[in-house]
Amino acid sequence: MIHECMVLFDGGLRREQVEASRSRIEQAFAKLGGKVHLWDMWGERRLSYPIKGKALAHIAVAYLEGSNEARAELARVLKYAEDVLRSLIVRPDEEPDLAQIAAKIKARSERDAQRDNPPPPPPPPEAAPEPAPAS
Amino acid sequence: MEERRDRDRDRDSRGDRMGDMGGDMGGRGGRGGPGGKGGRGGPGGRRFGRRKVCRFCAEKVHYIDWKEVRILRSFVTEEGKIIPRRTTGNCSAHQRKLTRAIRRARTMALIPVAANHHR
Repeated sequence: MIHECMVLFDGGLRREQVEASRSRIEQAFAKLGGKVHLWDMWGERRLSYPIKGKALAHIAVAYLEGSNEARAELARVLKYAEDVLRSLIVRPDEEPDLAQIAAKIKARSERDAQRDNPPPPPPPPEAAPEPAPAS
Repeated sequence: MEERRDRDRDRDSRGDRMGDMGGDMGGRGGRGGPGGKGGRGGPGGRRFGRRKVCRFCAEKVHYIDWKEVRILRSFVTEEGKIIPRRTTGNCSAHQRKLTRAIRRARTMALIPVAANHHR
């Protein structure tokens, strides 16, 4: 049974720090036989209300599978992690379609990459040669 | 004198008839206007022209995703309060699912919490 886990990382962290924190959480979960199928990184977003005095957070959603003990351990790790503002683990009513989610993540990352590095503008058309003056 | 008694008798009998109808019709016929089809008229003569339908039933949505903030925002006021289903027209099953989704999204600060709840 796949569960969803949303984690709000502190908005003041750099991307590498978020990645490190994410892998630490994943390792703690894997120790008890849990497996994270997919990470959906939403990026840095403004929160609707401040949590622990922070208005910005890096939002990550994990689609994971594991025993009750593994999920309890994950919840405990998230609760005491300093760089995590808040977390929530829920069991969705319907099994999430991981292939569809992966496709959505890929499309979003491509769109973001295109926005950050827009293609160079096309060269201006060459000016037509001036007609020779009539003598 | 005779005429006056007849008029009173007519008025009484009409009053009885109206009284009988009042229970079912909610006094809609009291104004003498045409009754709106499917309308729920009140004593003030209010009319509701269009029947509201559950948007999720119409789109055959079974699961309301709590991460779809754009959808949830359309069922929440600017203050952050959940709009009642008498206004949106949602069915009770979908309203329950929607409420749960909104509560989860509020927990994760994806949508605002009602102004007078958050201090």
